[in-house]
Amino acid sequence: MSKPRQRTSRKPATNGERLRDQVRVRMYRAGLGECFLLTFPRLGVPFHMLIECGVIMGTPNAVDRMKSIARDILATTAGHLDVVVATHLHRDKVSGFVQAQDIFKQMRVSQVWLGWTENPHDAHARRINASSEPSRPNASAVEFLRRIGERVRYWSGGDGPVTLSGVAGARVFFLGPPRMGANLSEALSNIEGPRDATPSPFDGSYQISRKTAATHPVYAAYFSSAGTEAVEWRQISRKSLASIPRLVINRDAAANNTSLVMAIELIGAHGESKVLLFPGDAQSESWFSWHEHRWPADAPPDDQNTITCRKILERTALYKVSHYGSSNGTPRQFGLEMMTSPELTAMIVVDEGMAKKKMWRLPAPELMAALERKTRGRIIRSDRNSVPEAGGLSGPEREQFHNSIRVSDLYIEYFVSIPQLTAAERGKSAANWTAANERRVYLVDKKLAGTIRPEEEAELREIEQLMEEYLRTTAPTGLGLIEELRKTVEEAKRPAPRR
Amino acid sequence: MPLMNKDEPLFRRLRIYSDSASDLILKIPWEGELAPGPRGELVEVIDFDPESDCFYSPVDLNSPLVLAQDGLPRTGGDPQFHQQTVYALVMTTLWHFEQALGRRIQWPPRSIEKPDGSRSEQFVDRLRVYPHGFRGPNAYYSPSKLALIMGYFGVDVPAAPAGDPVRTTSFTCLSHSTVAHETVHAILDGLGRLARSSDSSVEELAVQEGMADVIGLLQQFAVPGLLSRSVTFTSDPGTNERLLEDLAKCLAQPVGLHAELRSRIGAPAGPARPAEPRMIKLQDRAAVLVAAIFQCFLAISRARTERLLDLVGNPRDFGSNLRDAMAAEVTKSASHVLEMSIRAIDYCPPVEATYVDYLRAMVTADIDLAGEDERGYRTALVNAFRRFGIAASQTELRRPSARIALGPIEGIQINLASSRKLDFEHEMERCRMLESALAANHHSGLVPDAVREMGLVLGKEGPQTIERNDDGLARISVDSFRLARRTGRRGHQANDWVILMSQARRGYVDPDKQKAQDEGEEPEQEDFNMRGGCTLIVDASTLEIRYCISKDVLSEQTLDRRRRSALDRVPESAGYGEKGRKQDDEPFFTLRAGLTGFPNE
Repeated sequence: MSKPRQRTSRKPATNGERLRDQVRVRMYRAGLGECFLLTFPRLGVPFHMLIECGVIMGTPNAVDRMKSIARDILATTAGHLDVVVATHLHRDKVSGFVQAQDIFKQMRVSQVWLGWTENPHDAHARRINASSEPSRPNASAVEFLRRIGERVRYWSGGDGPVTLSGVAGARVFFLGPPRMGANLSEALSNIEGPRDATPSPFDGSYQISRKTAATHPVYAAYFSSAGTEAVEWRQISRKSLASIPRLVINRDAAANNTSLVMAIELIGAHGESKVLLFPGDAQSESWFSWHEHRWPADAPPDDQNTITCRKILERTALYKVSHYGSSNGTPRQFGLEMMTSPELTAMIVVDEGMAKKKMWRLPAPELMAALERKTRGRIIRSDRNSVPEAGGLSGPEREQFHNSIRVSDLYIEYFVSIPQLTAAERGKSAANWTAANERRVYLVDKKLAGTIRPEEEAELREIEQLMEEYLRTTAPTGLGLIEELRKTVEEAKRPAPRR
Repeated sequence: MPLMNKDEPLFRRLRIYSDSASDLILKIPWEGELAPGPRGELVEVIDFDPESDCFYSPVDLNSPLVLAQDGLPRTGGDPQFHQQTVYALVMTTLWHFEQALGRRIQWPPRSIEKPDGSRSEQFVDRLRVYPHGFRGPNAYYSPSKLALIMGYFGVDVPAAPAGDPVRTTSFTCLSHSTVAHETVHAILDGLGRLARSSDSSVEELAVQEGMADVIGLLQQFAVPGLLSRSVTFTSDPGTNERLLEDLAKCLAQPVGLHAELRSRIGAPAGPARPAEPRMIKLQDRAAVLVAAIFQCFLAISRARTERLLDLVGNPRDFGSNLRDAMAAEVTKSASHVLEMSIRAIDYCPPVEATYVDYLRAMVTADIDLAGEDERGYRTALVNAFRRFGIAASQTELRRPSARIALGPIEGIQINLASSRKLDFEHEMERCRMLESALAANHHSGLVPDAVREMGLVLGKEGPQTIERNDDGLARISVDSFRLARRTGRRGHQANDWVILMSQARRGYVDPDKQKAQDEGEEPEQEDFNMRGGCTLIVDASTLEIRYCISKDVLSEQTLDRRRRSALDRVPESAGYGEKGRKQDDEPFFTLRAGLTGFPNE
């Protein structure tokens, strides 16, 4: 394992250190399965977001692997996860919540985020899930998450942006799962449904069984012709329709397209923006639907302040490659080709041995070539122990890139830097206090309710202290002025202090 | 008592599904030999429901009980009423096309591979319709089965306020606009003009979708009696137009499945194309064409009804007679615009038709058959298209230069066959004759300039990416060669040969690769298939080539458009490493998925 060179002005923070102007993205090396721990700087304790925790069936020592990952998460977060995201219900995304349940049970989870398709109060979601209920072995993982989350939130494409409690300059846009429209999900439930014949909508007196039809004066011609004419080519069957490649028919793709898709935007001190794109396993049908959204929803699309999917892709600095780099996971023109940020970096979970065993073409070589070109070599693979060469980068770029990566046996970390205001600058900017104050109110509420924990107490103290400082410098009240006057007068009365 | 007059009736009256409580009855051409199914000369309804694994009893429309009451009464949950409706709707569409195009409908032949590897084209007599073919909010034309496959599906309909929604079933086979739309695809396939998603640019597909939508819409407006009971006309033209727009949104709803279509009608005109490439649904682009033609229909209706109002001096008291008369004028406008829209198809290039091509085709077809523009139809059309950003400096087709003369057609005889099958066989002979004449003698009486004007390449010339036979000679396919006997608006007869020729060329997304392949590098798998070719309209008596509407197989512009379309294409080749994945077995399934708003019982 090669160590990153350490000649750097700003070193990545280690576990104990405070993150400053950096978001840490930790990709656990589970095999063919995903688990990302994102850590954002915040006043007091950092903000932790866990995205997925799972590994595919057939992975050797899966339980042990998941447990050691969970233990690391417990240690890193001091037992508190602000958000846990499960993008969709495939085993390779959620198995860990069951396999390492006893460890996750020890943690506090403020929020659990899921896609709308998991919402038990959503009629469409219920119908989709009803048809496939027996085949949802991972439902127990989601049940567990719902239980441990203090609050469970369900998102659809077009939702957001939401802020991360107490984190300055970060907001999350939800691009998927697509709402798809009542009828598309209808189709999903109908065609995806049980494979046995479904009851006819018509009365039995109209029905003619297939057997009777074969000798029926009209329908016999459907099965065979009097002459030599072929008849089979015009016959239809459930199978012939099911073979049409299409979102609504392909069960696996359909589940992948229920992925919760997040674009986490980091906004720097001077308005610069970087997006971390976490698409789950979304495939092209989902990607195309992202382009239908804009924020705010009723904003004119050409307004420069309107956020569109195109803008989000243009600002993407970190792309978690969808679906292990499958050929359909990243569309070309309306996906990767729109990611034009010069800093674009890709993180991808790769386990070629397992993919081969499962006869999957993961990752697709054509996609890897395109990623290589777009990122100029900044591809961080979970199966590589060394830092990527990134030959397309200039010297300083490469140095900066190498310094932003840290590899260990358990994970690979990548640090996305986003210059935030210094404490002094922050003091001058009222805007940054919105997030901090939101956090303060939340903590005060907890304090009043008596549920506050020691580290949160510390955080609250820090916020309040900074807030007082800020108020003193920017908005002296009349009372403060009198107080200052009084002090000045008193000081004048006192003998001169010793120096 | 023996019947004294043995003539068969001209029409059969059939009740169809309608949104309102009162019955809607269509008059469709009488078929004496109509068997249960119904199974007629052109169409057979086979009511097999694979999802429920059963057939439904076929309706016998010649049964006296059915004949005596204009078809089965409309009752919920009767599949035979569905069979009757879908048959009536398909037949109505076919009838409009036969009238407007002046020839019998032919279905595309089935191409089968013989044991020796060669292919033969087999005549197919009937379009098949599966009214309950699958579960899902979709309906599509399947070119490989030559069948319309209509879906049905459950929907929740809001019940009483705050009550639980009621589960009902929707049937696409009852939707007038949907059945008409899919039938248009089948007819276009029979005309040798079907644009398939793998071989066409997005604009060509949009034109085709829009055409099918607008024909489905106008066909409903042209149903006698529908307007007089759906619209309460007033003396204010603006109000009338709004009412017609509302009705259109309502009738187009199932077609539109695409909300975009609904939103385009009556919407302020925007540019036809966005300034930058972004995801535009095909239906959205198609909606531009629908909206433009609908606009033209409104303008014509307005002119006709205003004249009527002038005539009666615009009375305060607006009686039902006047309303009916106004409805009749609007119905007539709809059937005229419908006829113009269908006739235009013969005047489009066989491949890569654009909005502007379609506009020119509509204008030219109208000049050909209506002569003077007494009622200002063409002006209305050109203005309506311009409102939606489709403008052309020249709005009618140019006459071909005098040089074009097609030697091999000199000996062609007008052959009025007694059956559609014979018709088909004669046509095949004509096509093969012309093809072999062009191949054998690669001058075939054509000067090089004429070949260029036809958008084709002959002999050994041209880029090597053009499809060639073993001797390296460019291959030209004659896709259609039919006699159109149309009646003009003033009653005159026009007989023309309509000939479609095309040529295929391998296309590559990478321009450098294209160049290398054009120059004869070892052939590689193409990224897309580009086609060029022409429609010739030849006066059947003088054999003068009256129009030559071509798309150049060498055009850089078309190549570029196809290149962009190949990148734009939604499901196929959207990702990386998916080349060669064929999704064209059911091209219209994917195109039309995601529909909504079908009739339910």
